[in-house]
Amino acid sequence: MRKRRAAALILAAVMTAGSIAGCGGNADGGTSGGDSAGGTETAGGSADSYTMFMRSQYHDWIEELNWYDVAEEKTGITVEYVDGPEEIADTYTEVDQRIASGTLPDATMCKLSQAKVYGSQGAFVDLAPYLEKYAPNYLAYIEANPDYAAYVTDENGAIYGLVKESPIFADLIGYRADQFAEAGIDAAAVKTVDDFTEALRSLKAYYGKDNPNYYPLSGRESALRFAAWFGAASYVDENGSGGIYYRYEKDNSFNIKAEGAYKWIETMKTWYDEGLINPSWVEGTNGEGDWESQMLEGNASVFYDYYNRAEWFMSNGGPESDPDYDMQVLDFLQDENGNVMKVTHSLLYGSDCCIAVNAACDEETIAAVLKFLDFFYTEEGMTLANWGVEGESFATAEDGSRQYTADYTTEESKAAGEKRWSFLSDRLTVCKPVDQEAFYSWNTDLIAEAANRCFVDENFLDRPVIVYTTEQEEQLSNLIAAVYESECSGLTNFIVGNTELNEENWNAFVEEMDALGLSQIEEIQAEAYRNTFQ
Amino acid sequence: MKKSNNNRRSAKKLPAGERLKKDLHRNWQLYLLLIPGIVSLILFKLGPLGGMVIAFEDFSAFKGIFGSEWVGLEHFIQMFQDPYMLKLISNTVILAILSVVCVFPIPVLFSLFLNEVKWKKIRNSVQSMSFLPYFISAAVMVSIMYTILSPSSGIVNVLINKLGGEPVNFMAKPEWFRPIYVFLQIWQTFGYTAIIYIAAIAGIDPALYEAAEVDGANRWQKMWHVTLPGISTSVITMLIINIGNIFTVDTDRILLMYNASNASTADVIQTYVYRIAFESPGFPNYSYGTAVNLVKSILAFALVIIANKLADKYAETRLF
Repeated sequence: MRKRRAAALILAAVMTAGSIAGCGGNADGGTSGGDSAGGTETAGGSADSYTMFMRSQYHDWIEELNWYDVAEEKTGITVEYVDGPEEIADTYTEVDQRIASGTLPDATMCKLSQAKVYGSQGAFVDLAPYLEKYAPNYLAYIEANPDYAAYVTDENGAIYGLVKESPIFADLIGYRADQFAEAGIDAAAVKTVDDFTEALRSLKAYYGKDNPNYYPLSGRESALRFAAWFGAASYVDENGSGGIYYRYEKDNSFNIKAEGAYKWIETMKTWYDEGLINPSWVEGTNGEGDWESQMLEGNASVFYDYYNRAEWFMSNGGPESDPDYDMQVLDFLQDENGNVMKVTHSLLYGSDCCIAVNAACDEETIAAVLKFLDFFYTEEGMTLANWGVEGESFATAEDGSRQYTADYTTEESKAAGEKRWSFLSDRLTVCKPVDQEAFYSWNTDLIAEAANRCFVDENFLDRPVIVYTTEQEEQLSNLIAAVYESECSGLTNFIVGNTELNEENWNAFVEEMDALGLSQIEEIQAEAYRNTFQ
Repeated sequence: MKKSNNNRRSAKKLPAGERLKKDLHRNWQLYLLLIPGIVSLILFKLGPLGGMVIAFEDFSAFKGIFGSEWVGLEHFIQMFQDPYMLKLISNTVILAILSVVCVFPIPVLFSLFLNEVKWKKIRNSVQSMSFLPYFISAAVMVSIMYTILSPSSGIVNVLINKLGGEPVNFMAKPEWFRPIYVFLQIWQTFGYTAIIYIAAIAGIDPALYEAAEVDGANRWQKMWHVTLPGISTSVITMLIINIGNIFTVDTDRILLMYNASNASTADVIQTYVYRIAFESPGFPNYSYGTAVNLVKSILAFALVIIANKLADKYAETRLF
């Protein structure tokens, strides 16, 4: 009996302890503690290191960079990264959780909206006064770029987060030059959308006659990416706004009220009906792996995707699967008058990948963060981050121009985790200005040539960086959650034939989207534009 | 027997406090074992309910529940003014009703028929295999479905092709989203849910079957008149629980099956809330997401109460 009682007692105690074991919390309240224990406190004494919360994939890439090690050496400051999740959206969610639980490290990667809202509530340091003190080069950059200043500064003049500069690039049209030649298509003669459609027809006739799984045009994620070819990309300017611009400045940018929008969907329907475009892609079920297999196995010949994808296929099995495999990049298409159909491109500043500093940090830690970032706004730092070390990764010619001596293919094909020279700027490493010339040059000849040929101002639509208020962002986020999905669904249904494409149905669709909130979105975007620029 | 009744009567005369004290003294080991469960219930089930108050606030993770600005019913008004909400509710309810109507009877039927299998080894093997899919993740189940239904290489479309038909991209057809969702639900859960009914069947007094045999009942009649009534309490209990979960669709599965083509039937309250709270490019709106879920929970609670009352009235069984 005693044994049984003792057993009951022990069992109950163990189970209760188990129940409450996961309920540990930080008694400090605020945003310090947890992972910052080794950062804020240590850094408080020495200011030669600080801790930073970062998406794990970005941290992994940082660990591989030779130039980053040199930067730490030059500044004498070490960043101890606290790994976040692999997915970027989850990373931002974890920032919220860390703020709520008081486990935020000294600095964090976050969204600019998080930095501004939490900053004004006291979670992040207002960096404006400290920039003057500890980051004169960064301050000079901000002063020289009023659009940057407007972007990161809140309505009270505070700067709670700093964003990186991003490279300017657009999607490119990659094509199998060997298949074009074999099918008797002159790639140089593909100038207009009609030429493009004809080229797809020729390919289908040639390769599709014996292969039912062959669709000349394929891709990943959304196929609703051709609107700009028809002058139907979303926009915002002094005259107003059309379509969803917020969040869709580059990818999947469309304006169903544009003159060319109907033609765009009509053309895509033709591609779909004639088997010129992979139907699964249009329907939204073609994954990245599916697309890559199709391109590598000869079940597709053309794509319109990320700027360096043509090279990816060349170095990831293309020539191995077919010795004649030759991927090239087409010029951007033109209208009937020979004018280039301008395309959307990435923005110079984005609200993602912002760096904010925990308000619980002491001044020495704030100084360490800013001094480290400031280095990348000095001539020496900019050269290091964009070109590397002279003699090791680049050389300067007599006329002062620079050229990489490190080989792109050799460096970028090194195994994960191995140190390398790399200057890809499409991720967050630190806030730094981007040398566009260096960015385009750090590619294989195929992509460097295509980038220099295609990525010129005349080919780009105007993509202004708009400053939205927190309230506007909240309204836009809520509206877009309903409208964007409905637009994609409606457009896809027109293309695949679930809804008959005619003027009457099209107008009803546009009206339905307006009723859901499209016109409201356009009004908010136009208002934000006016607030930003007028 | 008489003495026992007298004891019960004398116990009833004691005040409640005294009775509880006496009971605690007599069964303290059992109460002790109950503590972890109570603690767990308070910490992980009842406690977090308090967090729902953020539906009435503009929640900030930094300010916390007690510091965030109180906005009253603002998010609820916004929700009811949202023109898209009607479509979301309609999609959610249709999917949930289909889940209850189509998914619920399968484990009951399965357990009834499995009980009729004479060979124990076969019965046990079938039962084990039937609940294996429960342990496979939604991601794997959906990718199996994608493979089976692939328009170019999936076995279903290969068969359609052989029979002279045109391949169909089932995963992209709005009209096929619900049947596929329900099929996956059945596939994944029927074996596991059937365990409850199989356990209930095992508890039926064998004498009842013997009596039915004496009365000349065949196997169908025994199943209908003995087994089914024997598990009716479990069936009704599970039905009430299912009705309580009527608005709770499997968000993981839907997100994995979701695409531009089937969005008109696949977009439900949960996917919408997910987009607003976790995929928002702006400041995350947890409060609005919570408001939507709170309304959903209140409706589900009301349905449970109604189902419980109906079960009590018509089947003389109730959950509480």
